[in-house]
Amino acid sequence: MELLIKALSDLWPIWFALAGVFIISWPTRQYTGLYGKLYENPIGLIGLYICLFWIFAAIFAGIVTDFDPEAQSVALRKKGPGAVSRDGIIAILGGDVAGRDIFGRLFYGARVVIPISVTATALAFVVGIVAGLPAGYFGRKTDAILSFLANAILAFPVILLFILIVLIARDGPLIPTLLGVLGFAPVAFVVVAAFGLYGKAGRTGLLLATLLLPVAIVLAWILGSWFSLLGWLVMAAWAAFFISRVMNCGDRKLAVLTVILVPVLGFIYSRVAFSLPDLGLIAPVVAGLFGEVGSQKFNEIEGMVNNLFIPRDAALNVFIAVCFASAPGIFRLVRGLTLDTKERDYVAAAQTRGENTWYIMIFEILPNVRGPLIVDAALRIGYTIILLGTLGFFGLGLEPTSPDWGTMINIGRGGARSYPHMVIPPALALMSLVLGINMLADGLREMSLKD
Amino acid sequence: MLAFAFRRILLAFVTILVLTATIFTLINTNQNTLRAIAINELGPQTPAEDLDSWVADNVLTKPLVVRYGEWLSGFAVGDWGESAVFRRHIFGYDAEAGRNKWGVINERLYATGILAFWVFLIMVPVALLIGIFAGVREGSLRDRGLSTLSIMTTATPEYISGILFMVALASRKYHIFNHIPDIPTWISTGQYATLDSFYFKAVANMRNGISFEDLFLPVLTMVVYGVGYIARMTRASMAEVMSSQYVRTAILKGLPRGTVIRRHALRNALIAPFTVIMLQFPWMLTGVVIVEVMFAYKGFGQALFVASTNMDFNMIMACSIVSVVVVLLTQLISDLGYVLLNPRLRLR
Repeated sequence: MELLIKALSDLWPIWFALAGVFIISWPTRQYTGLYGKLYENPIGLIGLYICLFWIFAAIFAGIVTDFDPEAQSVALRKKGPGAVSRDGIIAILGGDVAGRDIFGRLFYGARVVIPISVTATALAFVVGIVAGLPAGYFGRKTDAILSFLANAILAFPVILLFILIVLIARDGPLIPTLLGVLGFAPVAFVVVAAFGLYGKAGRTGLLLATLLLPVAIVLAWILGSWFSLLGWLVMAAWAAFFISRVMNCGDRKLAVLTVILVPVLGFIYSRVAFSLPDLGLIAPVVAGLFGEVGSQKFNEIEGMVNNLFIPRDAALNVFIAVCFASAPGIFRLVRGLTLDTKERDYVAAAQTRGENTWYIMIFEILPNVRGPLIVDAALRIGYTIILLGTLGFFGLGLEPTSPDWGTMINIGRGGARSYPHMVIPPALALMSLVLGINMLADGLREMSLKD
Repeated sequence: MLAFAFRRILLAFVTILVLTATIFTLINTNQNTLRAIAINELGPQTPAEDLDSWVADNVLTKPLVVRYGEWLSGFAVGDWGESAVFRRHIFGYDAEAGRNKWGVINERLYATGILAFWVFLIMVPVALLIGIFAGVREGSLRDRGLSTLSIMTTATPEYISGILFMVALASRKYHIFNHIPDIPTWISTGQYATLDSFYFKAVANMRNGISFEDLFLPVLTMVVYGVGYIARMTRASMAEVMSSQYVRTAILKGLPRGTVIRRHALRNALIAPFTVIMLQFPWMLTGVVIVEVMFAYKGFGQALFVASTNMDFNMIMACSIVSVVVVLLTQLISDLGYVLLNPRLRLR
């Protein structure tokens, strides 16, 4: 009982944050659209707040916990709830096999699980959309080829896919290749959206513009060291091209957004997929231009930026595996929805107006199928969390010291019958988060059916 | 109909070819996996140079395409090779083999088949009943309760419910009846006698065939995760049918409610769940691996896991093909069944 009170009081930042969200959201619920409507649906609301709890848990993990999540202490080894460490700090849920505080690892676990599952699902969605829209819209060969690929991937049981990606292809060229292919989807999406927006301006210029970025990236691969300068030159040319188009275009907001999004996403992509541009290569140029002091400043910045967008290996494997496993399902969903929607009158109207095909797909069809996509996204994040847990359970993927819930369950399951306190907390944590997400999805679905 | 089935089967063969070629290439072009294969033959203490030379002498003797062709032709006639981990032939009946005449895959698929049989036998009726009861009156208290229950089970993957059951039913110290002392005395006289009859081993024994004890926890674990999804689909389908015109007509005609549900609603409401149930097979393969590894049930899933962690090449290929065939076959059956069950589609 005392432990429960201590646990609840230790979580004060989370309670404050949840209360804050509620206090702000409740009076303004009529003005916040879809989000505000959730406040009329008890199941969706409970789900939302369970999800928020874990999101805040991930944010405040450092404040909530008394222990370092990877620090081991002999005094806590296999000790049950309420064990006291050598420094006299109480471990609320006890310690695990290696003497690490379970209560703290639970919240640091949210910090591992939530970002990976959300980003992997997001990337999988972009991949599914980028492939699904043309497959549904064009049909015929495009559809046949893409559908065959998707069905081939779906023919693998998920677990086999994981084993192949994480265990067999761990150090091979498969992971970087997959990252290159899957990661290109967001860039392609923005490029294609831009392509659609400026579609009426004439084909040659657009084709050129659309090809520029991939060409730059391929060049990056071949030339390597010279890309840093070349890449930025291409990006600048790309931006200039669009700004010149923006001047003659009505939809400025979107256009500017594209001008910013394309280089930023392109930069992140080349950085994540190829670790390029390598900032160290610009150093001599900076030194030449700004002298010794400028060069030192540059080195400082380089040190800071160096780890930015360069993924860790173990997390990357897991990320790619999860993303690769869920993309085909999303592809099928988007394809089906596109098939349904493309016969509608507003699509026919857009076709008659002479709009660009890509414009029709991204600005006419996609916004109109967002309802089912949002519900599916919520469900799929939940499923991704389960998949992450599966990977952790088999000890595939993340490092054994990682505090994610699946790994915790895997470490503790050997002694689960004698020391259940090592496995039940992460099990319940995972269960509650997935339950929350499912309830949120259910609430969203009910609301979308009402409209 | 026949042309459709034929085309699908052809496509399935192409898929299998592409997938096996992919796996074959992946394994055979990666230095680390090749070394891991060599370790199976030469032992874990062998230096890397010896491993590499073994690989060069025994694996990389011919071009990749030729080796794939050889493997494929062997596979097609039932020669699936030897397993490096299990130290015996993988597939088929071999009269000259020692103690185990049947191959590893045959034995393991038999054990998993029994597991799957019991899972489906329990899961499908329970799920359909829950779904029907919830869907008959949409929005009622019963519907709310059953729907929440099914959401909860879909949020409880096997590795979580399995752990919870293990603690609650297989642990002497934390057994659920230790904490509810009234129930055992209520069921019978002696507390320990009852505890023993509700105490299940967390590790499957499987010495003398497959017993109730070996099956209980794995089946229970898999049923819990699977029930929710089918129940929700059934509920959605049932609710849709109950709000349709012809059911309203039947009710207004004055038929008893039971007759309306049984004769008019159920037939159409069960078409959608059929597809869902068939598509549960691929999902089950993942569940089977988790459950079998967790409870040391010596079935197909456990073999797959052991083979892949030890880089048992022939076994990995065999397991991949078996699972891909299972998935493709269930997809085919579900598509054909959907057409057969739905009269509107049958006419075309």
